[in-house]
Amino acid sequence: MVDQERLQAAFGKIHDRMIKADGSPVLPDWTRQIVFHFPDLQQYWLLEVVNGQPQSLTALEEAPETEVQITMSSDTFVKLMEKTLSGFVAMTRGLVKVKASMGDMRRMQVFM
Amino acid sequence: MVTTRFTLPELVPQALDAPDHFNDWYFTLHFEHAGRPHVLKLSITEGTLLGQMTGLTLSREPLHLQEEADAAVLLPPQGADVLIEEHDDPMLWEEAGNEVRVTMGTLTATCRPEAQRIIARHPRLQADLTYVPRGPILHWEHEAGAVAQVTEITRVSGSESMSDVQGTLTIDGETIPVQGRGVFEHVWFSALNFFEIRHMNWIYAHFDELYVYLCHCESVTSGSRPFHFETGEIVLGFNANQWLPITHLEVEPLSWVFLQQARRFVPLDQQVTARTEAGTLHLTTRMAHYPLMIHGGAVRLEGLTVDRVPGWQSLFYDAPIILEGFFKTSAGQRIPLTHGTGINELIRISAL
Repeated sequence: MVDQERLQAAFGKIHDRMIKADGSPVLPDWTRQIVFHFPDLQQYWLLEVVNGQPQSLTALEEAPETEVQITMSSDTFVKLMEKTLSGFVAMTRGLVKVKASMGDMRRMQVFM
Repeated sequence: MVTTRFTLPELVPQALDAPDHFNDWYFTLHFEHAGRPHVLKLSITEGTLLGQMTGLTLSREPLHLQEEADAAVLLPPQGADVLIEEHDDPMLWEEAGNEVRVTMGTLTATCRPEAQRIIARHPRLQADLTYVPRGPILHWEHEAGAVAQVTEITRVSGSESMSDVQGTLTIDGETIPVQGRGVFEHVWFSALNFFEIRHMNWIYAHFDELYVYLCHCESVTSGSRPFHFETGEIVLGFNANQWLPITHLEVEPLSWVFLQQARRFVPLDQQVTARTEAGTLHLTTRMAHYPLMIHGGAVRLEGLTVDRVPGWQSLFYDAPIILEGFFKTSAGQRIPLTHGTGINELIRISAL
């Protein structure tokens, strides 16, 4: 379990990876709501992406219905964002549950 | 360009800055000892596909097949095979003078343009082997450093050097001189999405008369469309090392076996047809030793829901194979092929 400071720092990396140095989005046509569920923290976080621009990050009491849902421990999330754990390894070890389309899986490789 | 020499850029790690990448230095050796066929595999892999990993395996048990009422069942080896994996060791590498040296765990690959050497220093398995190309080096997309688009995302470059191999091998304290044929491969992925793959066969084969590598991959795009990839090259040793790119490729199972460990059927015998402008290669392959599972081999991805399909499974292995066949030239000459050995790397990703 990680503290909120590290969790938010990890979320910050999503923003960094989705925006190029010139301020334009890496995925300009991608609009999605993504729910991150951290069972160890008993927290849901909703990330809204509009035309490739990360918008609000909102803590929720319950999981909303979204097209992309990711469930993992907060520790796994931080390791993924810090690139000390690969997405492939996380999936094959059962550390992450993902519900998404193939297209969204591909796009999420930009930031995870 | 057809060449028997590597360039140093072909030997160094590549694409290390890419978010998803992969490099390997992969050595195999097919040899006989005590009247039995053996297959040694020593591999260094780095990157986001498999993580930092070395593999040291020696296959020497024959297949254990059990005939049941409706299927043959492939049982696990009974202990004589050597299966060693080392994880998360750092990759150390340097380019100095005319060589590239890569070390990870107990393996060190020392690669020169004209020959490559792999040294293993594991307590259970030590080796010092030298690889010299039998003829022209084979390349992905037919050119050194060229980029092959294997799936919508995945980009593969690199070389397959079908080699004569000699050196020494020590297993559990017994040292033996070894000599045979094998492959030295260095490939790199500058982008990859493993989960796009649905069906992949990579095969290399040595015969007295020729050698070949080929890859056939079927995948899906982000728009759920099928994506086809095939490549391969043949060198006809009987014809002054004539190099032939494969223009059409088919790999078709002839028989299946239930792989107990993976809880699924896998091909036991396969038929390979590879066309070139100079003729067609006809092969049959048969699994010769138990498949060498890669990164867990058979994995259930129960937590993955993709395109509304919940639950997936992946299978990833290297199976040592023996081969028979012939090359039929465009002029109608049929050249029988002898002493076929190789490896079939197989990936399957499907719904549970």
